[in-house]
Amino acid sequence: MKHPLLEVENLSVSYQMENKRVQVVRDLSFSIDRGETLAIVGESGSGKTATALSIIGLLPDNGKIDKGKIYFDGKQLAGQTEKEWVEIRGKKIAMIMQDPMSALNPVLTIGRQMEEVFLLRRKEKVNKKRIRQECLSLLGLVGVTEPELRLNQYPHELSGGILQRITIAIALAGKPDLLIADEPTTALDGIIKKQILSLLADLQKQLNLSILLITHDLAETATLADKVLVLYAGKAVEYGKADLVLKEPQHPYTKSLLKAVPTMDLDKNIPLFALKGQPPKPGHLPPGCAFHPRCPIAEEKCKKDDALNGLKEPGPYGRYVSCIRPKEERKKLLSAIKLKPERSSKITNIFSGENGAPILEIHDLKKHFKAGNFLSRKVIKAVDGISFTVNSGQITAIVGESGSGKSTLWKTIVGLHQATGGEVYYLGKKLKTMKDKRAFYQQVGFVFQNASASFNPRMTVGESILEPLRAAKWNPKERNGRLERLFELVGLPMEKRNAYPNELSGGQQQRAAIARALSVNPKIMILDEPVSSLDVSIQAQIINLLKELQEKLQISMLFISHDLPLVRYFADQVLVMHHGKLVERAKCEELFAHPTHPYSEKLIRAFLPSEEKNKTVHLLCHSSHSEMSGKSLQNRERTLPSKV
Amino acid sequence: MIIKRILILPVLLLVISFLTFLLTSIVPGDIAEGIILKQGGQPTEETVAAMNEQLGLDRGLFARYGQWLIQALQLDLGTSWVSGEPVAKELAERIVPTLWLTSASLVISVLITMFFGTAAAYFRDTAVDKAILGFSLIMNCIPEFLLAFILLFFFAYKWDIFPLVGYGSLEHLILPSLVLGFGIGAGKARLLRSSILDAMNSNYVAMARAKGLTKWQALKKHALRNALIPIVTSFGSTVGFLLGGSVIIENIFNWPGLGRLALQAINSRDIPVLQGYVLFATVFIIGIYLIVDLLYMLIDPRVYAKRSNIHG
Repeated sequence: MKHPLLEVENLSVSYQMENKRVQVVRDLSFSIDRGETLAIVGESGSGKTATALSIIGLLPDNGKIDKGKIYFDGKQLAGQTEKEWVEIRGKKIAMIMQDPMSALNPVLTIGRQMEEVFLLRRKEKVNKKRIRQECLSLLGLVGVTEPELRLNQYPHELSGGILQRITIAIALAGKPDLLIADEPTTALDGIIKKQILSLLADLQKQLNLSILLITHDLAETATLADKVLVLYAGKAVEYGKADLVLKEPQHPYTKSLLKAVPTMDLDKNIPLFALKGQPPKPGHLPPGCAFHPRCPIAEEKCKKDDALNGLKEPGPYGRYVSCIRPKEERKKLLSAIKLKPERSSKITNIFSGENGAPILEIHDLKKHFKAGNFLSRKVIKAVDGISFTVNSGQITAIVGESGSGKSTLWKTIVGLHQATGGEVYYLGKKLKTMKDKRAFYQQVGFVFQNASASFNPRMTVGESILEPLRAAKWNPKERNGRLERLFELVGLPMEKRNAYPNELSGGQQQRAAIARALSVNPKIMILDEPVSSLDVSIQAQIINLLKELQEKLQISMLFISHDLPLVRYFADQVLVMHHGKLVERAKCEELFAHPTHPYSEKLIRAFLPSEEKNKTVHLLCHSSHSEMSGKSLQNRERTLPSKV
Repeated sequence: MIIKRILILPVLLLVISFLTFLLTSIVPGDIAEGIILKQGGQPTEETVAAMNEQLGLDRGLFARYGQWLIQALQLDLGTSWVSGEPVAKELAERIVPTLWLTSASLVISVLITMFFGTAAAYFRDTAVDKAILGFSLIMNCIPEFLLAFILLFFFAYKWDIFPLVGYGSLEHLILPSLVLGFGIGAGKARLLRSSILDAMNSNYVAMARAKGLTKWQALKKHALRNALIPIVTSFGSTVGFLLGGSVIIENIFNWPGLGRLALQAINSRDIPVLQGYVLFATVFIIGIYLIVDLLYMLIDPRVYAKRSNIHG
């Protein structure tokens, strides 16, 4: 009888945490056929990585498979000895990691790390030349240019996209049947992301490879997957054919996730759909169905411990939804969930756009770095003559790939880098003296990508938020009053003021970071990728919060992001950066409707539906430009392509 | 970067030698008086003045420093106030024993570090790991002189395997270098262990395991080299410390090294010897850090890139 390549039955995995065992994967079953892609979708802490690691036998020392079976090509893998595993890993099952920058050893050349795979497998004398040939052909297969050169380079000399191709090449070196791809594009930019995804799809076709895709990205899932398994708190909530699950999600969680993904056709006047609450921490699961506290259609029954008992176990191919509400009832209830109506306040339109007074004017700003040694001097033009204006209450987005100079730009504006040239005007006044500049810096609030790293772990959240006020010499009573107001503004419960950053969830940390940025009553906020490390459901909450704050407080924002659908939804004005230059500057609607610079167009296209695998992609990011294209074409400034 | 280091060396030496020169004006009591007393004479006004003239202390600080500097540039570090021998010769005699002791303890400590650090990391949380951690903790806490006496008691006194104290043969070298080597190696083994464990948690080790390497292969080929980067730095400062001479060990084992010379010079206020010693130690330590930097470049290809590139 033909059996699937990988069959997982009732897998349960737990981690030993300090003094208790925490279940991270609960009773999971799925299967993958040859040449098939299964996507395991879930937020952080949902147990998707633990599942992948159990399949390749690399659970950390404190992790254990409690029960369940993993059949690979008919052979039981769970409980194998290390010696047996070494025969599987790299040869039958290979894996690529989330962050290609850290997945390669920084002190060894690419060549050494590739050869290793071949050297491992042969005991007899090896032919170095042939191995080199094989490495070169593998690099060719994954589309790495100048393969000869790459073999002698070190990881830090290469970009993320090339490195991810190289890790794929390394993974394929042992001719595996199954490739586990753990968030393969999460650390990459839009354009590169798309390239890597289509590379994976190509390779799969060419090599009849099975892929287990671990992801939180539903657009990625739609592009690549044949089957989808949606995980929540270590348990499968929905499982089935990708097009069915993505087109007609039946579990309220799947449905919510799909709704929360920012797409190119979001209506700017409606808040983003956000799941309420936070995903549960493993080890602190609510009783009954773990999703019930966040579920829009939960009822009393869902809270009971045995809520999910007696539900039919999934068959190997069968679609499976773990919800106790009967199908029809669920469908009716889910379709009845309405998003909140239009925003209550419409003030935003009065101030935003070009109407507000200019708050920040940048003229021909330059930041050049010197590089190289005295033998070969180079100048890196990270920011090369950029001019723009931010009006009061306006959200200006800066987009571009990593390395385009987005971060250098804002750092130069606020003086974290000494500008090589150009002027900054704040409220119409040129910043000349150190005193001017310092006064300006105090009026800027910052929110960084990685909220947890931006807090001192030894200070309570309250102390961190109050620190800028202490520096500005507020008295304790004023400070406390301010803290209460800030917590209320960002939606944090007051009792969290004495919590340490690690006691907060990712979303709460980012709220606290926003509170800290707001503490000095800034006129302008700088948000450097504020949501890109958050889960989709939390991301929407934070974006809604920011939008609300911007309207309430009339703060101007500089929003650095590579997520174009989000930018389209969030920003009033967009600056497109490429190699340190501003290639296009336009009002948001105009840019997305009619990008004039080829690079902007390329960027936008990376987020539009692709024709890879499923037509469901359209469900995720079909775009309705028509409605905005009618608007006027005025108010835009562009640098012509020829200047670049 | 290396050129910069070498260029900065003379400036550094100038500053440090001047600072040690200042010592003559800082040390409490009258130097001439002290030396006369030590030689068994009576410090009268005349003898003190004569001694001051003999030592050159009657002239101003800068004049003396200038003269010393000119001589030092001709590799003449002056003569010892106590023995009357040239300082350069006294130092040269002591350098050889110090180099012996330094290199022997270095070899032992590197071996201990590598062996115990790697084994503890590989057998993390098992009995082996705990035994190594316990042993290294004891070795780290036990004062050098105590360990020296324990080893002397058993190996030299009770079983008579090694000579008690002194200098001259390989056998004399073993006990003092064991004492130093164990003390240093134990601490560094703990450092290496945690450094390897950090590296073992990295993505590139996970990737290596996924390629099919065993845990041992991944440790040896991937984790160890990265883990060694911080260890190399810490060995750099240790070698500097050893070259300065370890006073206690040299005294216990009657080892004619630099540390003892320095101690004697301090006790007898033999300023020229002290100056020569400090100068020598400075050159050596700077040299060691230069070597450490070179090793860095060898181990970590990013070092060079980091220094010559700024990422915006």
